[in-house]
Amino acid sequence: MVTVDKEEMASSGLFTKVAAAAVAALLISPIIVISVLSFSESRYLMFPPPGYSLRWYQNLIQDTSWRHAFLTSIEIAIPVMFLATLLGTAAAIALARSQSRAKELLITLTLTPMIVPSIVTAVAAFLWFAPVHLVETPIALVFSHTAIAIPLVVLSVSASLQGVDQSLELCARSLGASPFLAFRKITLPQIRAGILGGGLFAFITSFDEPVIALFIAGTKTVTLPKRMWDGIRYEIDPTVSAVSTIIVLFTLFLVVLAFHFSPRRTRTSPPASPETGGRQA
Amino acid sequence: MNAHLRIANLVKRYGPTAALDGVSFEVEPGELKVLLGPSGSGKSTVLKCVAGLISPTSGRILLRGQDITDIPIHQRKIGLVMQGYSLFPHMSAYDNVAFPLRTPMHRCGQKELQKRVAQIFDLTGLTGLEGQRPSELSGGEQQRVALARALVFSPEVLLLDEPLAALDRELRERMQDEIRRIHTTLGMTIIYVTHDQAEAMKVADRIAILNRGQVAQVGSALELYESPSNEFVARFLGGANLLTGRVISILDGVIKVEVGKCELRAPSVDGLCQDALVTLLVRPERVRVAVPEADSNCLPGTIINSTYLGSALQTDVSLSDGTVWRSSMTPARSSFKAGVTTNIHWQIEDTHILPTQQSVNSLHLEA
Ligand SMILES: Nc1ncnc2c1ncn2[C@@H]1O[C@H](COP(=O)(O)OP(=O)(O)OP(=O)(O)O)[C@@H](O)[C@H]1O
Ligand SMILES: [Mg+2]
Repeated sequence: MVTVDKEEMASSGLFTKVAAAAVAALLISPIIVISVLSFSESRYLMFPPPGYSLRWYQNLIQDTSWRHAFLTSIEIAIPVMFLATLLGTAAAIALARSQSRAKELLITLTLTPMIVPSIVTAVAAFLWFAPVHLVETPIALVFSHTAIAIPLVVLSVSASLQGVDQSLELCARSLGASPFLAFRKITLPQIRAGILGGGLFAFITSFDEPVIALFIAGTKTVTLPKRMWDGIRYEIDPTVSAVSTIIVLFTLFLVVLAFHFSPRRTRTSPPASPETGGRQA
Repeated sequence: MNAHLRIANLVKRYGPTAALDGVSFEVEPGELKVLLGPSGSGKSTVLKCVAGLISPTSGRILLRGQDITDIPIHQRKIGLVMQGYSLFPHMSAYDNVAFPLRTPMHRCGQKELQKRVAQIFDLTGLTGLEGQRPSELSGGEQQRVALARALVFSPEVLLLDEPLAALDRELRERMQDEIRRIHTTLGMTIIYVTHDQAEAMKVADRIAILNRGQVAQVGSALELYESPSNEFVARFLGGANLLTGRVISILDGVIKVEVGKCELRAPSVDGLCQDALVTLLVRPERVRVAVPEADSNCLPGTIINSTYLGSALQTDVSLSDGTVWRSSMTPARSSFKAGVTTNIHWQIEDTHILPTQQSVNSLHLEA
């Protein structure tokens, strides 16, 4: 990349910039439009708004159904985060150590929930939970969301496991550490970033998941995306756009956090600067 | 039964191939035993079995007479420095070395820990590098951290797997001295794996030579070099000139061996009889070219090449049947010309007899 000569860089640079700007505009403009709408004073979704106000944010705070929906989403996303992190990390480690000939198949199987369209997962979850009378309960949502969040954790943890020498744990054991202690002291600190990143992605996945929620939530377990859906269908006022704006900001924050923990970043940064970790007498 | 570590008939199979095929040897208390052998001969596999990293297909490992074959790896109290050091990259040198003392197996108080780590840093010459991560240490320093970490919990036995393979020659020689020094200071029982025969001879009390998963011979460097018990050992340790012949007489402790049309003499060994096939071994340092001596063996040949090496003059001589013998003499002012016919000579007592398995060399030497 460094050896590309300057002229070529400049021309391809210009084209890339224009293309990138166009794509970004396409992707970002709906978000901008909806953010602008959330500050409208009109009770109709018209763009550009005739005037500006904070009334929809006010409405949001006063309306208990929105607050409930937000809390329900959090209540579901947190157990999903923990369950998916636990299971996904275990799966990633098992896959990394597997000597099985069916390893490729196992990896594909583990990642299936990410590949299968969410509408299929939603229908399947509905058919699975209906006979046991769990539809409309948070438990059903937690389990379904965990299923689609596990692959993200597996990917994130697998990536960080790539940089870990598997023989180090054996070495630690020869120095007196039990199998569990060796894992906790040697492997875990080295994949911590991948686990944290995977956990945050799991949280986000559950927090803004609409399709399964539509099928399973019913009227009792209304998550935020479900509530927004209802809002669009029955009310059509800019409260939805206020919620959207808040969700975008919240998710953005979590994604930045997740990327901060993601393994690639920690690997390129130096382990410790010679000044701070330096020689001491 | 006073061996510190006894390895009895160890077998390790990977599928149909046997990495270890009945390995047995003993290590005395305080002995530095070198396991020497070519790549793939099973050296690392022996160490891994002793440390418990892998379990042998069959065979026993006894530590002070106690069977440890089935004891889990972390309860064995055996220090191991693996091929490639295996330092923990996310810990400082200090934390690496202190690691064993923080496990339930070797736990000790904070004061005691600090004291022991400081002692071992001192012993291995690492003082001042406590805060460094492994990636910030040189190869030699990493090697010493690995050594310190394996020594700090005073293991019963220390296992070193090619500890110096990654270092340059000068550093390697320094570290060899250092390991010997640490060995004498602590009086620790050590198994030291290497494929470098010079290193083996330098550091070892005794050497066990491994070949294809079997012990070829055990002995001191002197014993192995001067009286190897088979051709593999003879060839593996230093240069070896070999000829096979038939015993024609045994008289007054001297045997005569007929090799083609030549007659060679050698000190007799037990268990030989007339007409037996034997292999004769002569080390290159004992062979002189064109320096006749009274009462010595003599063979005619043609000089192929002659190289001045500073400390030695190395001359290859082709015998009448095509076998090439090497001579390594104290250098004279000039080397020999290639193509010249000459005689090679060596003392009778420098001729060693190897028990013959099969006839390796021809019996067609012309006088
Ligand atoms: N996990 C394994 N699976 C299959 N074969 C193995 C395995 N580990 C070792 N072997 C085989 O066992 C034999 C001995 O291996 P080992 O590592 O002990 O050799 P070594 O003497 O240490 O060689 P080197 O000097 O190259 O380190 C080799 O032929 C190797 O291919
Ligand atoms: Mg090896």
